[in-house]
Amino acid sequence: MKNNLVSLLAVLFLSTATFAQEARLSPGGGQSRPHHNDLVGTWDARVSVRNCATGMEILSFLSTGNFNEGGTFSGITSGSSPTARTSERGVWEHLNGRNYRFRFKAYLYDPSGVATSYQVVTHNIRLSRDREDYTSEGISEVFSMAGAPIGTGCSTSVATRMTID
Amino acid sequence: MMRNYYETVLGILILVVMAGPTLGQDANRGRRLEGSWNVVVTPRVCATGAPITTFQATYNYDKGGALSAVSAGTGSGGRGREQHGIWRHLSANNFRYRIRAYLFDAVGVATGYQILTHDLVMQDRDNYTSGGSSETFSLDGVPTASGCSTTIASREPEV
Repeated sequence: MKNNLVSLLAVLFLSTATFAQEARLSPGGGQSRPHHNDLVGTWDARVSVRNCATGMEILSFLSTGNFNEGGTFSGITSGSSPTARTSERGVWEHLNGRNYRFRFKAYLYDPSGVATSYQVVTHNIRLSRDREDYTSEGISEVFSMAGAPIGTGCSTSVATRMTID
Repeated sequence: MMRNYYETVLGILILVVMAGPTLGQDANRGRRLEGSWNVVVTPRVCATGAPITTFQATYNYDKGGALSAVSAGTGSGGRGREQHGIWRHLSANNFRYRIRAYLFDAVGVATGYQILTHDLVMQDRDNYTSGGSSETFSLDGVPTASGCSTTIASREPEV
């Protein structure tokens, strides 16, 4: 009798654990996620463009980026006029632990609206332990529409996760 | 006494297992908002609800809770035409979203940002309405203005 009860309890426990794993809160609900997806979400960042040689800040501006499930990225920024530069589209990946990398592209235009070049930004991210903040650093490369390198730069960012009540 | 203990634990576990399918159903209902939506936005006078203007926008509610949008709105002072934010399922047909847009003046210089928070109700799979508030800030985060708006949206048909 005791063995039957123990067996039944074990079966019910396993069933409960299965349901608990499969039943997810709605997207954005804040449940615990797999480690590699800890970056998923929308982040408000302050970006600092820096002198690559000295690290000195040249200028800073605000940006907001979406790290989407599946590895795509999109972003908007206050750092450029919307008529001079498109918003950003790219990818991100989990490297290991709390380390990630993203890369995005934006197209650049002259004052008459003709596309002149594109910018590719690649950053390494370090996520905080509580997953609510990150810091990043990396490079920016600008290419002509034919793909010829035009210029490079460096930048860092500090970001906070956007939340909703 | 041990038998009473086991019976109590058994009863609790049975209740939890029975609740499992309900939790799964709610999670599926939460994903119904995913997709691309054609939106008509109406800024309103907060005190009276009177419409100020209307403009069109397209919102993408992505799996995982991210939201991205583009807007045909102009407004005064060069309203931001692109927004990024988050959304979540509250209960049943009720959702909430929050988006941020950067604002620029006529010569393309950033002047501030706007945060919009709306509560959304799905009427059916292909239609929703929402309403809420907006707050405008300087680039230093100082509040400069606030407002109200409503939206009516229809799902972009599948290709």
